[in-house]
Amino acid sequence: MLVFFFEVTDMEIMTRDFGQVTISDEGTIRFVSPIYGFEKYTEYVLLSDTNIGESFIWLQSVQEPDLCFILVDPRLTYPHYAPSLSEEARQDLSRKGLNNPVYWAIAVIPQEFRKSTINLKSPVLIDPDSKKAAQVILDEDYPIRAPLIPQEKGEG
Amino acid sequence: MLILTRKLGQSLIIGDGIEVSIVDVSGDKVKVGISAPKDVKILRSELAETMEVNKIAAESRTDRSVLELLANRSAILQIKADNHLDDSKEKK
Repeated sequence: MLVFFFEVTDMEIMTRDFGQVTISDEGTIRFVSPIYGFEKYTEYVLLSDTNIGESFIWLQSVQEPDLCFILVDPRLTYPHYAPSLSEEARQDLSRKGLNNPVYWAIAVIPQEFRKSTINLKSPVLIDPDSKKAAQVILDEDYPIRAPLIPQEKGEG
Repeated sequence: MLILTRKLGQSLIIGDGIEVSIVDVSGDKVKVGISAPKDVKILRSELAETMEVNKIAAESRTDRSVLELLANRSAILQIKADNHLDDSKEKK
């Protein structure tokens, strides 16, 4: 007798930048505290491009093909970025399934890409085990628009 | 910008029916109480700004070749930044 331990729930979604993509339910990221201004959208998948590497990922909405954020590993530009959450915030997130979250920054990448910024004040936290996520606003004084490419000294 | 000094427990009135009072002060933190009509939207400024930046982020559709460039360039710069650890301490 065949026994399925896991319900196989692959489904196809349309994405903004990758066309049609097959995703699995266990790969779906669920926001317990949504992206501010996008409260309606709580389910996303993470996509990456091997040419670009894993410091940039696409946070693609499952519900809305046109909704997609580019997340950047903040340590790419800011190796010392290590924000701390208040004990209260940490416990609250832990209750919601975010025990060991990874910090990502939402990027704004304009046509003039040298002016790209990342939001270090309000990172997106993703727990890779529970697949739960949250955007949090830190108490610490980090910039909301931090340059993704730091201006080199002497460069115009 | 109008700047006023208030003591703990004191308050001020803005327009019709908005009262802002100083509830607690400890160190560099000030607890503020606000009573306002229901239709008045009150947001922490960083929340409003985060919403705005999120919206711009969602609207900017970036060409993948640009991301490729960015990924490479940031990696190069990070190596440079690591050579100057003092410079790269990044806390505004």
